[in-house]
Amino acid sequence: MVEQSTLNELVRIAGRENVLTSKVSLNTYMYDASLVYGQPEVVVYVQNAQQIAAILKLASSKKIPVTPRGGGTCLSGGAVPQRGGIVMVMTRMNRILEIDPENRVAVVEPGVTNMELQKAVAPYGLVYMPDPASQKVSTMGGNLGENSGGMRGIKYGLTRDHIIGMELVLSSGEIVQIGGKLEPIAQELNLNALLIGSEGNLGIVTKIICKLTPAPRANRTMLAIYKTLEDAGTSVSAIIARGIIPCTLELMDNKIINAVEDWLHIGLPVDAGAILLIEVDGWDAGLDRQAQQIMQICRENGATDVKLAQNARERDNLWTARRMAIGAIGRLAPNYDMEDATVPRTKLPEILKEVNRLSQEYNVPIGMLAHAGDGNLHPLVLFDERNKEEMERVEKVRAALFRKALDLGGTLSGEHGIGLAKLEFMRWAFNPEELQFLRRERLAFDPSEILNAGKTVPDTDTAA
Amino acid sequence: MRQENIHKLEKILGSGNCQVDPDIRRQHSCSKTALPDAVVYPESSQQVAEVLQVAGKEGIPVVPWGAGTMARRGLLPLAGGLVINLTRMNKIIEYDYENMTAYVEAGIPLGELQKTLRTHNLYWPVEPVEPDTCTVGGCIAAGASGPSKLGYGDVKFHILGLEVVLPTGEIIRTGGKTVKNVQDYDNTRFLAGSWGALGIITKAMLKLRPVPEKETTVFLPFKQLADAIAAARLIRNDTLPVALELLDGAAIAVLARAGWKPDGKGPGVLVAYNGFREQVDTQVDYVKKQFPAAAILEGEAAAAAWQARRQLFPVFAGESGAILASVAVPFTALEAFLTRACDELDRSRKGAALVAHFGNGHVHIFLDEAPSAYAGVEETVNRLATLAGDLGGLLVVDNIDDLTLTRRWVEARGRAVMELLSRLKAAFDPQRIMAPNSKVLAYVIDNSRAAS
Repeated sequence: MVEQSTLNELVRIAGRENVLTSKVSLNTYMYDASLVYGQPEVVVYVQNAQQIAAILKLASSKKIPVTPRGGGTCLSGGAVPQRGGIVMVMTRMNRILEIDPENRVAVVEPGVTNMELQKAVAPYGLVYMPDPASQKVSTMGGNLGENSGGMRGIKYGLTRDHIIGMELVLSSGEIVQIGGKLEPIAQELNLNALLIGSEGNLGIVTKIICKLTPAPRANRTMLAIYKTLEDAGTSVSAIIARGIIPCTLELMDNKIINAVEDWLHIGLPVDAGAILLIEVDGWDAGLDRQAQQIMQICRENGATDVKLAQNARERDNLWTARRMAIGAIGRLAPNYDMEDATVPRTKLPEILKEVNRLSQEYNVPIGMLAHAGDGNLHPLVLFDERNKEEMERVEKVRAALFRKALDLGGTLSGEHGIGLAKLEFMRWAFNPEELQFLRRERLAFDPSEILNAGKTVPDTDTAA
Repeated sequence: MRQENIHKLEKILGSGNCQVDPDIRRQHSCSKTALPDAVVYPESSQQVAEVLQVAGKEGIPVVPWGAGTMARRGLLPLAGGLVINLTRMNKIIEYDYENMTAYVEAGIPLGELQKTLRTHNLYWPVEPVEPDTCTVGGCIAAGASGPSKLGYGDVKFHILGLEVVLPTGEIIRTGGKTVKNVQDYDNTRFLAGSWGALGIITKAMLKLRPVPEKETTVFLPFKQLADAIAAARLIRNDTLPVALELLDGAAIAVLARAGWKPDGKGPGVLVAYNGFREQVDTQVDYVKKQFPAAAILEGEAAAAAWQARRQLFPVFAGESGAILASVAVPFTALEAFLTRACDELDRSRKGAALVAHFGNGHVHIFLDEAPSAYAGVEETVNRLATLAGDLGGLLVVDNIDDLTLTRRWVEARGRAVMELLSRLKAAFDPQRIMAPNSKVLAYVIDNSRAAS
């Protein structure tokens, strides 16, 4: 319970206009983009590291749960205050502090959106490589907390490959600097590794140092059309086995193709069982040959047609189709749940088949998107949350899907995080010693257990 | 170590796998006088776990060991305790060339691994000083890297998961087999470069790359350092090389002794490109156009140049040893640093050489003084450290036992950092038996053992 004296203290720290307690405000901050929710007791808009330090010190002393929140696009419940307490909204810390083009680094506050950073560095011919589909809204702090991926992950890596330092407020209220702009030559441990993807469990980040990359000079974008999902899945491994690493290898199934086409009318092949959206980039020289090789491999692996985008408009259309896929699928059912289990790339055909089977067995429609090059599935499970009986079937499908992914040597999550949504499955992925170890590690950073507590690592070894 | 404990270890490992012979102990130490009490050779993770349980119970310090090629960089001398030599855990458990991964035991020699990987046209892009003999586990624990870290990053970018035996005897897995994986905290990358201070890496899931279609090396000779710096800057900014090394005249002379004699006597720039044929040709053509004196090296000639580059420090150091300082400065400050550092060395010290991983803003300075005689060059080193600091950078000395400069750097991260590191150490190693001589934490934990 947050007492009145605590509220007064929060007002003193952050200013009255930045502390919200009205019913409407609290309800607004119950959600993120996942299906879980929980009501906070107070919402605080923070503006600088000192305020955050003071709030965490206070929260630590009173054991009040603190849930940091950026754009609220998290797909695993990372921004949901299921234990009440304080929601700390980071979006007003939204300054780009520094762009240093020749050193290829930028320093941003956590509330800057991924897209704002992209736009700010583009005039220098630079790119911040991670590009989650939520990039217009999701913040750099959120990206860091979840180790966000995106479409270019297969060639250019994930958030953890592109963040080299940060300013961090510990739950004790102390501020420390982690990593930095320089090549890491000192004899010290690499704390960046633990913090990126820690889902707000270990500290709250107030500055982020990002690595920038020269923009690729040219690209070629292709669309390959298949009768079956499995054929598309097989092509993915075949392309990479030839030593070509595309920057994008996205897969969509028939349900998604149709949902997008019904909405946008951009000429997608509505009869196809699956399509692959493939892009190669880099130096212009040699790209044509790579594209020809890829198209050849697709044909050899069952593609009924392969097209090369002939101009910027055709390329944009293909990209629009992929970016709008999730919005389009939202038109098909009142709710959807997007999972992000991964499997080793060669297991794609097998898991795609299994998802199809599960969909039929449990009579739950599932649309399939995948960052196929990474073996990162995005099955979109469609349902109506108000239908209890249907929800039971949905839960069974989810569990069976995770079980299968783990059996195939994959993981519960590639880029959306564990949060609350996948917490119960952690015991399938890790043994009790491993979970116990992760808990010890978390406590080393946050001995008072206030930071996004109750998520990511289950509290006990046995299911409740 | 008490005889009773030796017996316990022999019972776990078999008597031949627990050695107390002074020569063997000397091979597993970082000084001629401070030796471990015993060296053990486990053959399985289970044995490692059992050894650690004994060590934990008895409070015996434990240091993991591979081929020992990098030990002096990351470890302080330590008298007593147990060295765990992992070279008998040397199997490839799974080579999944289709998914471009290999799951290997930590003690496998890198050269042997690369040979197997080549059978399916893949490789692990890590190139330490001793690329044949060093072990994979050693590369990971040491955070190894070479010139290609410019293009591909250091070793942590090339591992997907680990099996680790914690000093409490628990065997845990980190990460997994897929590139995208956010299940657990990223202990895989955290343990890369942890130098045995937290646990023992027994297995690793490696992320492999296809062997590039074409690889070309370019060497550019110069008369003046300023011209070499300007060229390196242009090459980094315009051509995206995989490796970009700048060597001063003294380093070029050592290169010849290390087995590859370039044109000219002045400073030089060594660049590597790889990828698809047309792309590499475009990059190389650009360099040739800008610098007509460029020498193009391919195949064995290129391999010889890079081999000599890797051997630069060992050859410079010779039998008597040398001091190796590392400097990191912002890329844009490299010109100022290199120019002023050369002036400083010309003034105060002959017999120094300078080589930069230019694209990374990382400079190595070699000083021809044995590490044990550090006091003799300390003044010069401190002046260079001030110079780096003034340019927004940092200098540390890699192969001496004095961690003052490192400690100062870490302390500046914030008052709470030392406590945080100490709590983290306790989360892994509550009994504090893991490598108390590991430099990455020696200045944080109680160091009385390392000093004794």
